[in-house]
Amino acid sequence: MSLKYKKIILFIFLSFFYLKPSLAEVTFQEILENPADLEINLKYATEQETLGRYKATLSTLERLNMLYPVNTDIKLYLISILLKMDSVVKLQLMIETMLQDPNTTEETRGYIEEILQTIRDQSQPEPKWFAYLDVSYNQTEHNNIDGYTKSGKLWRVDVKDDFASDAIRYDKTYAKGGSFTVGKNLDSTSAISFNGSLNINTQNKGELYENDLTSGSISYSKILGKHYLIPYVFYSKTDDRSSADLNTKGVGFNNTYNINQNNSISYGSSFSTSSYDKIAFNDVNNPDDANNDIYTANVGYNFTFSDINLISSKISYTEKYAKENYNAYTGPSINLSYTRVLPFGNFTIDQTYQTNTYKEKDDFINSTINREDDIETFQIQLSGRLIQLIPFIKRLDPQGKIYYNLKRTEINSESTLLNNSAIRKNTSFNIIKRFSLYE
Amino acid sequence: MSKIRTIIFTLSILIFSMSQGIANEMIGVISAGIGDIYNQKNEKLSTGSKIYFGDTILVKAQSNAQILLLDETALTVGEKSELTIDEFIYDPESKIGKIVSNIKIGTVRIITGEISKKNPDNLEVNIPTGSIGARGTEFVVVTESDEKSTVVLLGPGKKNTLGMIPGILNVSDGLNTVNISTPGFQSVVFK
Repeated sequence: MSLKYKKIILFIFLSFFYLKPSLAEVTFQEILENPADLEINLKYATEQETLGRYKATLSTLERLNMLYPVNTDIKLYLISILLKMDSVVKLQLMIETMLQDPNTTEETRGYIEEILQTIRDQSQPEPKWFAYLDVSYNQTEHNNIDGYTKSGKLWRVDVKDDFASDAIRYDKTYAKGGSFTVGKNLDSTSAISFNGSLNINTQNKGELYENDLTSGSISYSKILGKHYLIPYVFYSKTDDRSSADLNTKGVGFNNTYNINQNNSISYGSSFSTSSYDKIAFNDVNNPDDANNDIYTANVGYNFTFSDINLISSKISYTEKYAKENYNAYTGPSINLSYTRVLPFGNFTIDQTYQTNTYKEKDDFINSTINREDDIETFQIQLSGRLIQLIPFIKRLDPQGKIYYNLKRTEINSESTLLNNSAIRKNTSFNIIKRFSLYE
Repeated sequence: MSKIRTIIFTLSILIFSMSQGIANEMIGVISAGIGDIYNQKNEKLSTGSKIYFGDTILVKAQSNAQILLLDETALTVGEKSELTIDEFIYDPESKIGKIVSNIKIGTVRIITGEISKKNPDNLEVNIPTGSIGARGTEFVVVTESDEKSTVVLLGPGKKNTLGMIPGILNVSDGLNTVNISTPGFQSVVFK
């Protein structure tokens, strides 16, 4: 295991096993010794809420409410917890008591009215069917779209040669698409949805990435206690302008186990099989040599703190089988990401390390070197609703159904083969308008 | 035989000394005391007063109290109520233990703590007309007389956004057992 993998694993351990206990500064023993101290108890309540120990928060706030009955802030904090807990009986009782209290201010009464509206909304039955259409546009700028190698050289039948002089480095790609989703809520814990989409991908200078992509999927979601399970099947087909068309179908599942509000474990697995259609003018390349089956498995840990910060880690393993073994590899990877909720969107930094070890040498490239790629991917992105970024657009989009994404990706691939050592940097902008057809 | 006698003697001494220790041990505090609250020795209790194993808590008219036990079980006791902590064993390290509480009269709301979380069967609330077992939740017991008690499940609802699982109550009258799993639902237990 390389040093960088060890560092990441060490970081994960430090983050999740050291950071969490350090959040709790007030101990239960201090509460037993100072049960009426407003400052200590309020601090304890917020800390316990952050740690996902809501019953401790609840009993602390109820105690403070008994000891400080005219403190409206404690009551409102308690109401917010009861609302999150969907503790309807206690919530209604508390609200009625507050409304009957002549000391309750107009401001507080206004806040209570908002809560009552939320309760009324929650009590309405969920619609059984839902349908929406997403129309999207994406533009990406690439600094090295053809993968010009770091050395400017590559292997070709054991001979070191110059990279093609007409290779394109800077280019732009555009994707225009539509995606239609229809689904049904089967009950309060499960739903099924069907999705079909079409994307038209074009390239400014070259044509390697020009294709029409048609795809479809069926997914089922189910809440089982603290588990949120989503099994799915999918199919996609490209209609390429200059290369072989690719057909992919697969099946998989993802499950998230919510340990509490702040901690969750995610894991999943998938299988996909891909096949390339031969193309008449370029049959010599045998594109179907790259036909493959891919198995993946991953497990991750997510930790939220202060409601606006999320740290996620994921370890994945990919096993790719191909018609020709020089296209097949095994690839473990580690991913770390940090997300922060900001007023204008969600800001995410993401880092992935992957090592792909190929199963066989490719004689057409180099018959003596085993191929192994170390791929380091860094991503920084901002995403959210457009009205968060440009508030005055609310007149055009009152429901906030235009979504944006700005992303910068840097991929540094270091390979034992010159051909695959390259640095690629992409900057993309994506915008989606959602039309809710039925909800 | 002498070895067996020695072992029995030693065990007897150990058990005796342990039970004495338990009897004198603090098991919680009055974390909020409003009005007139007394123990079985007629000592007045207030916020911060310690609760010991075997204590009976009496909350008089126009008074109420919250009792916080060492495992973070919280009992909110309404006016004209009386309850006893008959059994309390708790290991803070393993968070394993057992609570047996007896509600003689009045209104008591219970938010379960670590003991129930670790093993729901280890929290037992006795009422004059039966008993209640609780699985990780909050509930209220209203004992009007020796003949009638009402048990209501509170706690998180199914639409909670915190990932909390609604609890379950097992309410028994000694012969039959009823499970309550929907918050807001109640069971009335007659003698």
